[in-house]
Amino acid sequence: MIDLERVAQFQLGELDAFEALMRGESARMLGFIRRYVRSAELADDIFQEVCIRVWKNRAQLKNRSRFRSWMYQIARNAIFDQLKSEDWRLEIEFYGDEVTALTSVRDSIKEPRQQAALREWNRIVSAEIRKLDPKSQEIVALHFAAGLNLREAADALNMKHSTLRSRLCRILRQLRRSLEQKGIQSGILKP
Amino acid sequence: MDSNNKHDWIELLLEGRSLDELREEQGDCLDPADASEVRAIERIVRLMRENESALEAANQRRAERLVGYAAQQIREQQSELEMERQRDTAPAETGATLGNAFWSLIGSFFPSRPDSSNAPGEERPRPARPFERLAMPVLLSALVIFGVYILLQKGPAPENRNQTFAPQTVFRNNDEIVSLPIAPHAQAALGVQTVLEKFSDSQFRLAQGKVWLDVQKGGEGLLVSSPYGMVCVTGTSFGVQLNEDGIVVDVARGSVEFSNGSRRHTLVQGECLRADNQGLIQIGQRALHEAKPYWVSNQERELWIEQNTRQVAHWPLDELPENIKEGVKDRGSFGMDGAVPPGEEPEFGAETQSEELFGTCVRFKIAMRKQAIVLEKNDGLVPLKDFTVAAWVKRESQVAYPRILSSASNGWRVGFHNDELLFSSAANYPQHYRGIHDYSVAASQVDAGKWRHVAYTYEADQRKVSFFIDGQLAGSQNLVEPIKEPMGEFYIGLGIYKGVPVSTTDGAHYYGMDAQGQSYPVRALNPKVGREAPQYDIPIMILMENGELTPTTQFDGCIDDLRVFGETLDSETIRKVAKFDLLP
Repeated sequence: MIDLERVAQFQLGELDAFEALMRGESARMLGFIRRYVRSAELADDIFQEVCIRVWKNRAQLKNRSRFRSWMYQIARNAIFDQLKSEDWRLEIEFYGDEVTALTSVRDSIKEPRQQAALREWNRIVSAEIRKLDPKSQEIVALHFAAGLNLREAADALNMKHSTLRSRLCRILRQLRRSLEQKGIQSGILKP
Repeated sequence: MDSNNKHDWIELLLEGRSLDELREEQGDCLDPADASEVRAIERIVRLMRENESALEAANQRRAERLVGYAAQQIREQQSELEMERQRDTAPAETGATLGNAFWSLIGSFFPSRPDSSNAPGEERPRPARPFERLAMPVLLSALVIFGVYILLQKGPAPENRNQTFAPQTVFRNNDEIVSLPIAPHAQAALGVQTVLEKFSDSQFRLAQGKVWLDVQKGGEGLLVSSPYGMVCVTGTSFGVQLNEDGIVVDVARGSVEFSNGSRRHTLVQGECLRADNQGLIQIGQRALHEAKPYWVSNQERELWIEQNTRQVAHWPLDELPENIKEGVKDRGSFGMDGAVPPGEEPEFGAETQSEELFGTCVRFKIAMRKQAIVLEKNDGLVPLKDFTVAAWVKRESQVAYPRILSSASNGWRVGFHNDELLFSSAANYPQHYRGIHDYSVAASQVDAGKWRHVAYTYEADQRKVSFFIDGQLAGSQNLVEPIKEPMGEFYIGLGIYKGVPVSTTDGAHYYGMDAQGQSYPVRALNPKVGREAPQYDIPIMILMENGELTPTTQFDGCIDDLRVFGETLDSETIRKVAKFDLLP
């Protein structure tokens, strides 16, 4: 839950409040940006650009409770500004090498067969997400990678809440079908 | 909400509700099929959220540091703005301040006199006492003397951080990490206990310790030599560390080329190389893809994903027919991706129909004779001294000489012969008809139609080959002569014998040489080359390639998860490999 008092302080120009707010969102935000750009270095640069834009545009935040969706709107704009000059199309990398590396330290999945199954699971989910249309990829990225709830994600994408919700349901059902078709026994991943 | 609609349940899950909560509220009101779908989707959502939490934790420190940089940048911008604002208003104020000080100073030398212009009723200034008149000059003189004293004590001004250093400089750093410009186009951070020698702006030698370098693009490049190899760059960020027994190079940005005399490797961003004094080279991924912490902290740089075994190649063989044009991926360190000759494709994406295996497998059809995955790049396989080849296989017949992995010429081949596990190595003299020695053990348990895990290990010092089925030692044999270094490409699923002593004598039959040096007819299945000699029942096909005759033997069934390790694994480790316990 966002600290509205801190958002108010941030809007009044308190740099400490800004820093605290951004620190709270930073890891998710960086992860979100890295889904759009392959280069970690470029993602770092975009992330810092987002921080600066959030600070500079603080007066434009109309509804403090929508701080997170506003911030992710800024992030999306910064990403597109950065990439529009290049020959680039939206292709969100969902679970690449870094998640594969992390699977070995996951507490809930310790057994090697489960870890291998999770790697396979990640690979298929990642491939399926890449097959989605750009908007759907962004919905998944905003809800899962950025951790926005459905309403916040809908705000960030300028969509109706109900539309986004039903679209995400469809995506998940599709994912489930694909995993089943590939014979992934998700039961093995039960903690 | 009371609902027996699965969509509502899924939406509630997405709103952050747990399945248990929903069951408690709604009861088990869904159809069994819908309930199963909702459960599966709940698991997908949960796994994705767990993945994200793991990523979030991994990104936390880096992201917080970036926020710190951004906040610092904002502070600097604000203070610059403030200074600009002050500069705009400063002249008048500063002039006034200086004027006051001047007149105070002058005034202190002269006693104040009563000013008759003071307004009536206003208190007149008190005449200064003598010690007050002397206070300011004494104070100023003391300040001047103190300043001169400090300058004399400290010597000349500190070195300009932009200065560069002359050739033949030796940098020795004993304490904390030091960052300095070692050349006009390169900044270095020297680790603790590091000795770096400079020969020129582009040539350095690391004698001890660790150095991180940031080299500008477009410059003249930079070369760092060490006892274990050289690193050459044109514009990049990378680190070089010298240990007692080897060197570690890792690349944060751009690419570098490493060479140790006999071998050369190009490392790209995120890769890390280790080379030891035996010339052994390992390449891996760094745990964190960090580009900037070189100049901030070296703590995270020390992470290295250790591999329990030195796996040099891993072909999961999970490719699907539609993406086979992109190649058959090697997930090992050397990137020995395979290619499939057009028109000779084995069946990719074949179902394993086994709970023990993941993904799909590749199926070779014995009747085809030429199906193969060709590994044109063999960097990881050629210099191997000891090695292990391991794979899951499901044979469909028990024919002669199906191969799992085979070098094109010389070297070694692993596979089967009828119901035996077979290891072949090139012979110096063509004692056998294929110019190779065969070593085999009985493997009747490798029935047609069943998945088995097989492994072949070779110990160079002992010249010993050992065979394993499902992690159990099936037998060992000693080689009569050491393995000759493989030449040319490797093949998965096809045994191929290039340059063997097969010749034609009468234009109709083709002849090989047997153990006694006698020629014998070989059945040739390719009518363009020759005709069959049915009396010799070995399914060898003769290919004509560049004027040479090349017999081949086809694998007879499915192969999955083929791996090569650069060491001899014991049976315990092989069992772990078979169970996917040792995935790097």
